[in-house]
This record gives sequence, structure tokens and C-alpha cells, in this order.
Amino acid sequence: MDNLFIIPCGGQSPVKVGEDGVVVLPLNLWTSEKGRPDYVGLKLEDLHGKLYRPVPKQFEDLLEIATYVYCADQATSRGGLDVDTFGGRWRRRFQFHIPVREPDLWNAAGMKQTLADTLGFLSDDVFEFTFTAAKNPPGMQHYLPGFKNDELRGDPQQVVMFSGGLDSLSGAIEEAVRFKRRLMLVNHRPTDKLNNVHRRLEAMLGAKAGNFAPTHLHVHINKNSDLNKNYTQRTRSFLYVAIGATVAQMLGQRSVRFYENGVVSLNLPVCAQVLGSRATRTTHPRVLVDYGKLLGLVAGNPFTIENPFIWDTKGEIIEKIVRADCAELIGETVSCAHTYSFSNEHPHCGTCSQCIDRRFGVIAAKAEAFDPVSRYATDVFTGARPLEEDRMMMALYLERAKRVANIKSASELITLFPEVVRTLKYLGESPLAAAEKVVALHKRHGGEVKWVLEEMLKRYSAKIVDRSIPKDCLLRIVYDSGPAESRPEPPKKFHKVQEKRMVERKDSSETYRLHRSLGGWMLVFKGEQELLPDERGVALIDHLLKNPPDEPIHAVALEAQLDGTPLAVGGAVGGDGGGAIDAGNIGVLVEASGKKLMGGIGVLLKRELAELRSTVADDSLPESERDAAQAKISRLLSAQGAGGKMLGQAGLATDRVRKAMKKTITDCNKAELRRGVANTVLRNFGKHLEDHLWLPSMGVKGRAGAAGKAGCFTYERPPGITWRD
Amino acid sequence: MGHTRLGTLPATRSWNEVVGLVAEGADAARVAEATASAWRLAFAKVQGDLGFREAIWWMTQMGVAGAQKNPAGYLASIGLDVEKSESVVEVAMAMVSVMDERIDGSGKRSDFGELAERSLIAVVTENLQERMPTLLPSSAHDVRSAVGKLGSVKEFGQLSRSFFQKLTSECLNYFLSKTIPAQVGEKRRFATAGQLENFEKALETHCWEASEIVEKFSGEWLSKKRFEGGGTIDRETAEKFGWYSLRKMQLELETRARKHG
Repeated sequence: MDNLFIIPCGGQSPVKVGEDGVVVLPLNLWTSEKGRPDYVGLKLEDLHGKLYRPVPKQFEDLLEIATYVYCADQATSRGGLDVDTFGGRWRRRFQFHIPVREPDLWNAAGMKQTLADTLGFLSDDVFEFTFTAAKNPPGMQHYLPGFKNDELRGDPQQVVMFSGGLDSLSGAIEEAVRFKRRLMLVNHRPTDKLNNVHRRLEAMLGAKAGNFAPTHLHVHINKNSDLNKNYTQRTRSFLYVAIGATVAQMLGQRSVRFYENGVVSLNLPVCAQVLGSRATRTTHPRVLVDYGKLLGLVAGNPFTIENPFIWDTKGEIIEKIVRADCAELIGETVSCAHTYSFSNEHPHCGTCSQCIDRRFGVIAAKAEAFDPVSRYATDVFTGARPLEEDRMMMALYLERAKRVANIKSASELITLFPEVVRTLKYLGESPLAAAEKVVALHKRHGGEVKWVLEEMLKRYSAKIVDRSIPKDCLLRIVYDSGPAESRPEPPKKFHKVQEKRMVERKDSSETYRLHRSLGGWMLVFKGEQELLPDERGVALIDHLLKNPPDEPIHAVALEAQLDGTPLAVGGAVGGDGGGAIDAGNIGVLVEASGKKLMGGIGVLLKRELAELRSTVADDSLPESERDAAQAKISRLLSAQGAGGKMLGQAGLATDRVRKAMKKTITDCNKAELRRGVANTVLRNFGKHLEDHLWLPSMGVKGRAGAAGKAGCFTYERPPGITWRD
Repeated sequence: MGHTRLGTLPATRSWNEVVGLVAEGADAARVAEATASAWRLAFAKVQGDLGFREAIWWMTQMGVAGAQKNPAGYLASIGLDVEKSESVVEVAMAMVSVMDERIDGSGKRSDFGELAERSLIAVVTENLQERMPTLLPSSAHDVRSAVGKLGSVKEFGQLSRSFFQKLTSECLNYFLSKTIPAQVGEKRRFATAGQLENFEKALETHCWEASEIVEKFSGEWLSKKRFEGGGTIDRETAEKFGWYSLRKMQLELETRARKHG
């Protein structure tokens, strides 16, 4: 991971770094100069004056940490298409340097780890924090531009996150209208475009709740426009929950609630490219548990973050709104992810994943009358989808719904969606029971999607048959009438491109190559490719094939050449055949061949013997050292007594090389592609080795080795064959 | 559905070939070969990937455990505590937990590692479930017994085959899901969602057939390592085995495409 971002905060001097590619991004919540490039503003608006109570300083720190994390997340890119790095730039590394009021608390090992773990899972990034003591930090009022002072009917009993979408509205209705609880709704408005929509919705909700009308807190983040580079905003819920927890602390409460349907919370990936946090984990069960753990450390008391809708589908959540006699509020909610294209006429694009899910949920809950289709820029079912990504989203949404609807067991769920395993520990049930509930939830969701499709196909059947709705609309794509319409055979341009590439890449029948490849060796024999395992025998054969010796080469020299180790200097020979012969055994090698094999070895042997003899003769040396030298002399000279038979390391080396090569050749000779199907490439290669390497090296029966030299090996290269990497 | 980020393929020569082949109606064998050819650059970037190494190593440990008197006890001794697990769900959780702990601690999570981890969890779950009682709820004894069986040489070959089929399939889909769903619609490659589904099934079947090449080799490899290594397999050795097997899969995809061509 080379996406390193260093974030000095609160007016700290930018950290000096010497590495290329490291981005330093200062952020400052404490400046009031809006033109500064590091300016970040956090405003908590509309808090009722009677509800304000001072909070412990660590909560002020928490708000600032969360704001910096959210802004850094938005200000740093996750890379573009990123295919050729296998998505390597999606994950970033952040190093935050943040001044805080309670450095001891934040620097505690458990706190830092919990913070990094929580954010790491939430966003798929790596987080590191350095906390220093803040000098003259502002108080909480810095973030509270003013208080509301209208009528307050009582302290809120619960803090609830309120996005203005269907799920959080349904949660607010459950609490305030159905159960008559007083709520504080915390609402983050990512864009001013939604201000009026939210105000209207809040007013309607207040009217429905009567004496239990919720109070509101609106959160605004302002920052330099250059700090908007990434729209994925995976850390938004952390900022959101930090604000909710701070308000809960003011109110003396120990929990905060999100309301989100279980299918979205668990957010099983729609396809293989959706890995990790590419499917948002905003209210993932593990994230909520981790938030609770973190806030417990901040508050010094147990703290919980709850999602009471975890076992509900979208359709079931909308049904709750209808049952509470609040259906007219449905049309006032906004679910669309494309807020940049928001307009009062069309608050929904109709093509993003949220719009698709909303529309299916509304129809499944039979609440279509309260969500006019005219409010969608593109009709989810009959609108054209000329954009590639829009068609992908639709196709994947339908495919996932179909897959989950057919799941029969917990194990099948895991086989199809292994990612789900990461949620099971956090659902408050035994793992098996939790998995079975997840299956049941998704089957209901899949059932809703199927039912809606059937209904819409019935409704539009005439237009489908007439082909009078766009060819790339959802219903035309779902409606499978059998084989595709006959169309002229497209030109096979890319078929030809592929064939040409394969021909170009294929080696000619006169190609002989052997080179290291992933985890083994790539062999090209007579132009045909095959793999060989990463074994010593292949490495030895490779060396001989590419360096056919004029004179047979001894196993010791072959190993030394292969390993690049000086023949007379190496250490002990390892059991795996690596390493060189020990200097003390040179005599054995000399004796083994009956004559001097290598020019310098005899000289070295004589020198070694001379040194050893002088050691033995030196009375000034300790007796143990002289005894050791004598023993070594005896070992060296003992080879002579063996009458040319190889002993010691030379014999071992020969044995090793012979066995290693023999194994490779034997394996090749019996290689199978699969049971009962011979691997002709490897078998042909094995035969080649047998004929040109093994037999010339081993000789006919009764001969000790190549050219009569015991322990020597050779490769007799046939004319026209040249081995290369 | 929550916020989901989808990507598309870049307009390079090799990826254009993949997109073009899909659009022209190429069969699964041709599309798989072109994708495996185009992903070479990406694979070169993930050499030494920690997630892949962990997934492969844990798969080999199932094989090592199979040779022990107490397979679950052996797995517990190396950090995977499944001795008291009463269902395959708990085994899957324990495996994810032990792999995540190591990967998260390193800060080296990657897409490829994630695909490998997902593939292992999927195939271990599937293979264990096949060995569970079907009428009665499973017990810790059933789970221990199934874990032990999974490590026999023959079963390891099958597990390994399933793993490399799944991983290859997931890698193909990782890239192809950036183009195939966009080619749905009348007068496009897939006129209907049903045709798209059929193609994806064909791709999966193609990978399954190609993976046969890994099964025999994997069993033999395990058998040899049990004999040679004194019954242990280190992470480096396991990783080499993993890359070798993946490369074999890739060669087989190429060979099959030539035959189809």
C-alpha cells in the first residue's frame, strides 16, 4: 500500500516527509478563516438551549477527531479504475496528528487500537493516530452557532440518527408516533439542496407525533472545495455517531440508534468486484458493536449503538409507516444517492442502487400511491438505461435478489456470500441461529423483489409484447421470452484479435525454454508449455541444459556453479543439497576421480595439509587444537585408503544430484494431465532428458559415471536445440 | 441496497479485447482465456500477497491435520480453535477470525487476498457441510470428524481443486463484473437477465472442468510434504504450491481456449 496521507490537524505544522508519493494534507477546525486551504467548519445547529449541558472534554476531542477523519476521507482519492493493480489504490493509509484536550486518554493503547480497528473495518483503510496536548483549544460553543428557544415539552429519551430517507423515517415514526417516545433526531445534511425537503418532512413528522414531536439537531460540515475528491464517504457514519453520542452524553443517555433495514446493513456484495468496503459498512453489525466499544472507552461507561431494524426488509419497514397511518410522509423522503442531480421535480434519479431498492420496497409494501412515479427522473421499471453503470447496477441488484431468494441453508449462505461470516458474531444470537435469521431475512427480501417483478410484468405485459417500452429498461431485460431475437452475426473482430495474440504468443516448435515462474518452473519443449515444480532436480537440470559442459562436471562443481558458491570456501552442506563442499574434504574429491579434477584443488589440498601439519607441530598451541588438526589430517588422508571410492561430502553430493535429477526425470516420464491422461509435453521432455542427460551421465550398466568419471554429469546437446530462459 | 461502488474496465488493448469478445458473443472458454491474459499485469502486482499466503497455508493445514491422531487438536495448537464448534458456521467464523487477525494486524489487506480468503471459507464450508448429518443437528463430534476427513490425501485433492476453481472463478468475475452486466439489454450480448445468468454458469462450469488438473497434483503434493517435511508445511512452501497451482489453472485455460478456437 503506497497511498500514504499524512494529516496534520488543528494548525499543526505540516510534517516533513522525504518519500515520494506521500501526500500531506493539513486540516484545521480551529481557524475561522474560510479562505484557508486547510479550513474545515463543523456546526451543530438548532440545538435547544435547555438541552445544552457541558460535556466532558474528551467528547469535544471525539467530535474533532471524527470531523478530521471524515474530511480526510473526502479529501483523498481512492484511485481510478485501478484494475491493473488489483484495486491496490482503494485502500489508503492515514497518519493523523491531532491535538486533543485529553492526550492521556486518547494515547492509551486500548483506545488507539479500538479507534484504528473500528475505522479500518468501516472504510478498508489503515489508520494511525498521534495525539498531542492541545494548547488553548476552543470550547464546545465553537461548534454551536446558536440555540433554539421555542417550546420544549420534555427532555428527549432517545437519540436517533435521521437521514431523511425511508428507513430512518420509519424508525422515528415507530418511536415517536407509535410508542410515544421523545426523540432527538440528528440530521447531517450533505448538501443544502435537501434543507427544505428535510424541514418539510420534520414538520409533517412533528404534526403526526403531536406532543411527542421530535427535537432536531442539524449538522453542517463546511470545507474548502479543494477538499472534495472522494465521494464514497465511507467514514460518514463515524462522524454521525460521534455527534449523536455527544448529544446523548448531554442528555445523560447511554445509547444511540440507527434505523436501517437488515439487507442494507449487512449489504452482501452484489458481485465479485465488490470487496470489503466497496459495499458500504455504515451500519454493519460489527461497526455498530465497535462504535459502542469505542464510545464506552470515551464515556467511561457502557455505551451501545443499536439498529432495531436489523431483521426487517425494506418492504417491511415501509409497511410500518403505512400501519402507523403516516403513509403520506413517504413521498417526502429522499433516498437517492445522486444528490448532485437532485431537483424538486425529480428528487430521485431512478437509476442508483438506493432508488431501485426504494421503489421495489414501496411497491412490495403496496404504498405506491404515496411515492408518485413522476418524482423519479427515470422510471425504475420502464425507463431507458443508456449508461453502462446504470445497467450494471440494475442487473446486479436483480441477480443478487434472485440468488438470495433461493438459498436453503446457513452453509449455502456462507458458500455464496463468505463475507457474511464477519457479521455473525455481532448479531446477538448463536452463530448458527444468526446465520439462519440472515437467510430468512434475505429470502423475504428476494421474495419481495420477485413479487414486485411479477406485478410489474403483469401491469406492463401489453407494452412488453408490443415492444413499446425502451429496450434497455428493467422489465424488458427481466422478461425472458426464450432465445434472443435473431440479429445479424456481429463481425468477429475481437475473436481475430485473440487468435492473433495466441498465435504470436505461442512459441514455435523449435523453441526450448526453461525459466523460473510463479511457484515453479515454466517449461517450453518443442514450443509446448508446461509447468514443473520448484525442485532442486529441475534447477540442476536447468543449469546443465543451458551450460552443457565440454567435459563432464562433478556433482560438487555442478552444485557450486548452480549455487554461485566458491568451490573451496563454502560452509557445511545443507540437507537440501545446497551449499558447497567443505574445504576440509577436498582430498576426498581428488581421490574420488583418481586424478586431479580441478586445477586449484590439489594445490589447496596440499596447502591445507601443510597448515594442519604445522598446527600439530606447534607446541605453543593448546593440545585440543592440535588434536583437532590431527584428526582432520586423518580424515583427509583416509580417502586414499578407500581406493578411489568416494567418501564424505563428494559422495553425498553425487548422491544428492543423482537422486534429485532422477526424481525429476521419473516424474516427467509418468506425468498425467489428469487421471489416466498422459501429459505428453512432460513425458517428451522426460524422454529427452533420459536420452541426452541421464544415460550419458550414468553410462551403460557397470559404468560409474559420465566418461567413466564417478560422480560426474553431462548433457549431450542434440544439434539444433538451444535452451534459453 | 446501500452505497455500492462499481467499476468498469479501462480502455487498454488487453481489456478492450475482453470487452470486445463478450460483446461479440464469445464463449466462456475464450472470454476466460482473454481475461486471464489481461490480468497478468495485475497478478504481477500481488506477488507475495499476505491474504493469499494465509488462505493457502490454512488450506494446507487442513491436510496436515488430517494425518494427526487429533486433527482438531492440531488445528487448535496452531491457532484455529474448532474443537468445540458445533456447526460448520462456527468453523467458518473461526477461520475468518484467525486469518483476519493476522492480515488486519499487518495493514496489508488486498483485493486478491480477500478473494482468496473468501474462496477458502466458501469451499471449506461446502466440503464440511457435505460430511455433516442431514437429519439431525450437528454436534461438536460431527464437526471434529468432518474436519479430520477433510485432510485425507484424496479429500485434500478435492478440497484443493474446489479452492482453485473458486478462486479462479472469483478472479475472473472480479474483472468481468466490470463489463458483463453492462452488456445486458436487447441487441446487446445478453438480451435478458436469464442469458447473463447462463453465461455466468458456463464460466463457472468451465473453471470447474479446468480445475481437474489441480486435483491429482494437490493430493500427491500433500502426500509428499507429509513424508518429506516431517508432517509440517510452512507458509512459504504453501505459497509456492498456491502460485504453482494457479499458474497451472491459467495454462489450462489457455489450452482449452486454443482447442475451442
